[in-house]
Amino acid sequence: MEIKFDEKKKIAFPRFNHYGYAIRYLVEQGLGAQFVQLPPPTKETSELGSRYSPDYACAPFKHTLGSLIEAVEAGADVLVETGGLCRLDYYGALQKEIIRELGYTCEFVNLAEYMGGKKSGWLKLAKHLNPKLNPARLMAGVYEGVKMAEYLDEIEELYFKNAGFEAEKGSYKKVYRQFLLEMQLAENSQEIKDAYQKAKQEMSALELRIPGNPVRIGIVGEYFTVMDEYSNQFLQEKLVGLGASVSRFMNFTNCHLRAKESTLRPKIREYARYSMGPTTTWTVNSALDYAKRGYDGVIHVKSFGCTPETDAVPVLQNISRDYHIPVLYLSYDMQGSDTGLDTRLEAFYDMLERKKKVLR
Amino acid sequence: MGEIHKIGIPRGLMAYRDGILWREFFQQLGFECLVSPRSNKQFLEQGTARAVDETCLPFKMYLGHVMWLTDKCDAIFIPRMGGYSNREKMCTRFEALPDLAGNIFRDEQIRILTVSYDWYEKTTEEKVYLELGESLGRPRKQVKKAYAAAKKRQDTWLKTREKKQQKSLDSGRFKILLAGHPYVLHDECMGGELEEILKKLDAEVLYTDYVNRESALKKSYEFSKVMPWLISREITGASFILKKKIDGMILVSAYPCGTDSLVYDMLLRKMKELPMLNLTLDAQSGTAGLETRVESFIDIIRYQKAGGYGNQI
Repeated sequence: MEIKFDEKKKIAFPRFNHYGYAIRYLVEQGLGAQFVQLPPPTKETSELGSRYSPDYACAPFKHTLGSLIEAVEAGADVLVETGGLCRLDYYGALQKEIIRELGYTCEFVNLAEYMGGKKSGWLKLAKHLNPKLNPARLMAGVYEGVKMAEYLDEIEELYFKNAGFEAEKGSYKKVYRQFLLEMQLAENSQEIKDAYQKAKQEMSALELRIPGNPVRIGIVGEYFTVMDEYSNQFLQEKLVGLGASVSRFMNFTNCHLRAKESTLRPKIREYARYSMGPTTTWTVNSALDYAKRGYDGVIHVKSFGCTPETDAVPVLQNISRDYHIPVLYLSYDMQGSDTGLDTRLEAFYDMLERKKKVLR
Repeated sequence: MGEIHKIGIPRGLMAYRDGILWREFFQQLGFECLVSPRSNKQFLEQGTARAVDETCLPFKMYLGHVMWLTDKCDAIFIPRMGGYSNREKMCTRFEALPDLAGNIFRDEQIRILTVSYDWYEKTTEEKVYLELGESLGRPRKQVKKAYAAAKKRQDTWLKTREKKQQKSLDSGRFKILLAGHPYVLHDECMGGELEEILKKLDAEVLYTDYVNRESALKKSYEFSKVMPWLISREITGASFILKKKIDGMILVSAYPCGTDSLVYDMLLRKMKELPMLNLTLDAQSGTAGLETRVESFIDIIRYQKAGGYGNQI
């Protein structure tokens, strides 16, 4: 028999890198509902997802479906799926149907239905999820949740920039892990801020041994796969392990809170007159930026069949030609092992290092 | 750059619906128009050589058409069609089309003529074509007239197709509905082959895009309120309208179509009462595999209708 400790609804969202912590904060502190925090994904998650997905749906569809199914089994009452500008807009509708056909009776909220709609629609949804909703608390929760996402992005960026050169092996990782743990547990804005400051201080105090000319690699690509570590098989972690400094412009902060698409486009006008798709402008802009700033290489990450990012490839090929910067194209589906990726990354890194030595 | 006299229109992608509008529009404005010939294997080969591996089959074909036009005209018309409203968009590839062609054919330095519209810009078809006409240096009055004439021509063409389809619907023959994007269904190397096979099997072939577009669009909201794509809406709407009048349906999709991958899966889940074949086309050199699949699909329906295997005539 199921025992209910309180009346709060248990809400689940598909896993999406560390942003789950910010969403948890938003749901628990803002909305006043309970959040189902899923453990890190495993092979079984991907298997579950691919088993019930259409064959050539993109990999994020399969990952998120796997997460949602695991969430129902972990006791979620409400599953939430978001909408977007590409196929993502239809994820919710199809996943709802799949979950219904599997026989789960939980509630399914498809945010695509609310996007572009009125604010009152969102408020109604929030009130439905928690009848005792405090709207002022919700606004504060949203604000603080977004702030947490910004901090997460900033510390992550710092980590991947320097972790390859740490004097004491594992020292960066230790600070980063502690920070993530604190974000997972934070209950008010002060705790978020303190943890952020502490992590930043500790990271800057760590000793670095940066070689004379480190290999710098820029990562660009499709929104979900490039950010979600599990989907891209810990790509950035692997590069750091090889001893590179890794940058990635595409994150929540840069994509949603900073430069708008229309502001970035003039920078890439040699290559594109119009917006070429949901995130293509960011991809092209950051690749061009890396090329101009003298990065050694660029890695383009996408899930197999991702239409907007596939359309960015010819532009990247031109940039690669114009600025003599090597670009590695990675296309992800549901892989079982990452040996193939390891080999490719090692070869790419060695090539960049060698190129540097010869040209110097 | 020199003056434009001759405008090329690649016979690919949405040219299968709007091609008539484009040609008539430019001709009314006094330009010479060159439409690339019907698709063939050579176009596909040339297009494939230039395209990124993962792009879809119709796009590779489209590139072949563009290549054929490059040295034959002053400018090539490659529109950027994002869609006119939030729930009736096009696939994102259409948003990228002119820039994509520009980047792929950068060395050829082709001159691209385009119209651009997106669902968030709140514009209308008339407005964007008026802008295009004026940017080509024609007086507003003439452009307006040209657009009206072109639109009328397209409408009559669409009407005749609808009527033709109505006639085949009224006939008592064995009817198969081909569902898919117009540029897949009517391309010689994709849907064209399928049509031939079906005709050989003595079936009446119907198309989802020969159904009245407005009524199909309206009907599609019964299928899904959130589905964002225009063409997918027309496909689902048309199949909902026709589902009682047909014997079977073939969902035709070109590998790897992003929208079809999700929408067809949904359609298969929602219309379980109708025999359906989910067929994905790729650049095969022979049609034997296709024939076998279609033939067995038709056979199954015929056996079922006759009340079991062995009862058929």
